[in-house]
Amino acid sequence: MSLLVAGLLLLCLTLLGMPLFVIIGSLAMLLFASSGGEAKFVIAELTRLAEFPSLIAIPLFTFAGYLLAESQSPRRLVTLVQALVGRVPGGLAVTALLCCAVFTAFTGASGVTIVALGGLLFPILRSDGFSENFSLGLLTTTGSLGLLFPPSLAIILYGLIAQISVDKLFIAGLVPGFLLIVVLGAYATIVSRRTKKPARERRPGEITAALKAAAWELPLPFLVIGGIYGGFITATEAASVTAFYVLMIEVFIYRDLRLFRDVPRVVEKSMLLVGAIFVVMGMSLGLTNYFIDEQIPQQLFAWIRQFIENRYTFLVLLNGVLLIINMVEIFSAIIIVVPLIIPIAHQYGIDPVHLGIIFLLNLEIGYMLPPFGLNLFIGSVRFERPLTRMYRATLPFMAILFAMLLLVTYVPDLCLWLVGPGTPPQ
Amino acid sequence: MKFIRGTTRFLGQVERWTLVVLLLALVFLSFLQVVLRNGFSFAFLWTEPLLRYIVMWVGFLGAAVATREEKHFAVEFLGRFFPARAAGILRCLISLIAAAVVLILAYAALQFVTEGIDAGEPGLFHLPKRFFYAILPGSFGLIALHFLLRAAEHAGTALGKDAGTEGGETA
Repeated sequence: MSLLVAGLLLLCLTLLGMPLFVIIGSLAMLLFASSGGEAKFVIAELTRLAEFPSLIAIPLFTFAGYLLAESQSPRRLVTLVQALVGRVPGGLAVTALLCCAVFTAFTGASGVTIVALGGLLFPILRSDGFSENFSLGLLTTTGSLGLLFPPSLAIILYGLIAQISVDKLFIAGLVPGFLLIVVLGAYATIVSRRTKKPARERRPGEITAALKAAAWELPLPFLVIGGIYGGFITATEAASVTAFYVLMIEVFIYRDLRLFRDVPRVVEKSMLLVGAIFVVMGMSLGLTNYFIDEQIPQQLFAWIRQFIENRYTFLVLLNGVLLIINMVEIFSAIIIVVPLIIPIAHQYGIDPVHLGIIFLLNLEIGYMLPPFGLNLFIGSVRFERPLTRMYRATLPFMAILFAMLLLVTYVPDLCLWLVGPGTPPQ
Repeated sequence: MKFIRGTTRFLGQVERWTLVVLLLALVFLSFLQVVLRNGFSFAFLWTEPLLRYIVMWVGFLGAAVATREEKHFAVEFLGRFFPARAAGILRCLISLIAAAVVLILAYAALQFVTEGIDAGEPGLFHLPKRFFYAILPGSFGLIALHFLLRAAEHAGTALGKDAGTEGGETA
């Protein structure tokens, strides 16, 4: 009874804006105390964090991503992709898609893309005849488009929590990720026909100049994506090479960032995000452990089983629940929800890698789902448009993402055929 | 108010430069490890555990920064509907409660470090393990302190002492 009261109190505090790690920590301590344990157990569980094999990838990739975001590399990237595909009809929209996808993958989809790239791309899109609604919708959507590509923070986190290989997840996300870009690109091309604006002229030497400008940054996606897909390096090694390389080029070659003035600021900004993730993870380890000890997932499964026999119906329900949870908070959602649903999904014969991609696509949609999706707020502030305007602008893009989600949910092979056999669903 | 801001700023400097040193060490050491392992099939025994400890230190110091900047993950949408003064009081209360919870965690961490981990086996570099885990009580203490400082600042703002100067900052 007293537990119920405490639970309600915590729920109220959550809604009033109490940091989630405090809520989870309190809950874990209360539950341990109710079964005769001590607060010390929560700390003991937290130290298990140090044993996670790929944990180091989180600070390293986050640091590299923030370095890139704070340098001039977004500008160089846009110039280059514009020079390469700008002449194709709808090329500009495709430019925006590609830039944002690469950039989000590297910066961990924490809204940085919209802030760093959105401001650059919005006026370009508008001047090329794209409607304001289309431009707003496109840029808000693409703010989370790279989630499925390495080295996205969300994938790494899912791999850590679900205890499956991060490398494998990266490979599984490849086909759905590219398919999504292709479909969105096709939509953009169709829309651009209606703008009736001639494709822009290519200036002589434009490509060479843009290539030259971005010469040091260009190898990066190939190094990371190629390296991991090709099996030359692990995700963790890629993280450390990327962080080192980006630090060197931005500070010593491009000199976009000064070592004593800018780098400390970037360190602080990026580690703030890492810290926020770590405390939620640390506290959740205690909570998750309690849930597993008390066999909560099994009980949940038994309860759900009464209503749902079929794997596919379960997936529909799961998608619905995930969308709502993810809209509220993304990283915490992975950390708290994944340990609960993996055992349940396993009972329904769903592959954890497949589940991971479904989960990440849900995240992507959750970012832009009205009324509370994070990208809507960031976009509204960045582009100085009312929130209701953002809701309307993202609608067609959301429809495409939902279609993709259905496809990925019901055609597991889209994620699994590159991963190959290993953990076939029973 | 001045004292509170000054303390926050001082802590901020200490945290920032500690983070810079640790993170740069993390970047260089881990890169060195990759080079040695892939280029020379060689590895120091101490890099792997040392890197793990640095990750913990960096992460939990980052959490202290997140507290100072009020950037912890939280459900924020209800706060948007409150008028400024009420929101300030609400944030002050929330920060106070958070400080209390985190103080319990800090105490638990202190207990864990002093009693919970082995005294027997020597850790890395012959240093006791508790030396590396000192970041846990340390950072939770720091987080609690930051929550208290923020609470005081919100109280000061909400009660209107220098609401004028603060207005621009929160907008």
